[in-house]
Amino acid sequence: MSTDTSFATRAQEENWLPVLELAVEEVFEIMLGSRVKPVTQPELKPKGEFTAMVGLAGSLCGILTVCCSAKTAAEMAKRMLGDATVSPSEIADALGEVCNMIGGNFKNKLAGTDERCMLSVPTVVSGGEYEFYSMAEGKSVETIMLFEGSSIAVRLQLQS
Amino acid sequence: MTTTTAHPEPLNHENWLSLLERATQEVFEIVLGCKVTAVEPPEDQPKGGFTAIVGLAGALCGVVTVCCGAETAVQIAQGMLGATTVSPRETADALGEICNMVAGNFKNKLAGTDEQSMLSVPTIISGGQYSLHAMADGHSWQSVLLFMDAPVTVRLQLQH
Repeated sequence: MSTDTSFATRAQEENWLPVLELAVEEVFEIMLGSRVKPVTQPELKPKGEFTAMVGLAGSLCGILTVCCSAKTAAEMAKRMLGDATVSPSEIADALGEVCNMIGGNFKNKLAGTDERCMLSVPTVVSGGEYEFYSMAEGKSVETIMLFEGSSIAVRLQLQS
Repeated sequence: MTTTTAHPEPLNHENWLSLLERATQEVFEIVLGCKVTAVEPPEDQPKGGFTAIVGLAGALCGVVTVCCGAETAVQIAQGMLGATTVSPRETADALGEICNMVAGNFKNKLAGTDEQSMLSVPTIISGGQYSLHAMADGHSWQSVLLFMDAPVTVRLQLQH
């Protein structure tokens, strides 16, 4: 993963979508050996049966979420662990770890934030029936990526 | 709430449960004008409801969660807003703010962590059926407090 902090500056928030997408692509390539690509069709937004979240605190304050279906989350876990079967706990851990790494990789690409911005512990929500609210009311950047034909939504929501 | 650091508690895990309870009681007393008391956890914890999550990053790394039933969450929001009816969004925001304040108050009571530990933006989950999995594999403390005769579960989970 690139650690060049000249890639984007904190002030150039309009560049954050490609930075986020690159951060996601690198994590999937390194950790899952899979190339993912962004898609533009909003109807491809995934069924949110699993949502992993990691908080950002400090110079950058907000939350990063990775959301996908249960089937996609299981596939991700299998790829990461190299196992044919995975438990619900392993699935949650795998998705949480991916979210954590995307958060860290994204943060590392922003000049001036790495040392002054920290990540909280990842948390994963799963189930068939839940709503998710974030109290981050500032800028929001979202991308939908295709992983092995299934969609994954990655969203960064910042505090004003 | 105590904001003075004149008599901060040392980083001694043995008294953290009572600190967490005290932090919660102070928040409810000041924000809602209501005394809450710690009780034994009920045998059957209801599924679903509202869960607010705040991440801790830095010297103290983990998550604080505040969980209650939907009706209790509405009562909390009504109390905070001084309103007879509240929207789901207002309910979520109110519980998120409570969680944020409990986490901040708890953190302030610990010597040496206030400046070195930061809070992430609160997030709130609501629904009928969901599971929450925090990837904090260290110490964990939980207290159930009664607010208007209904349980509110406050939990602190730390990373190793």
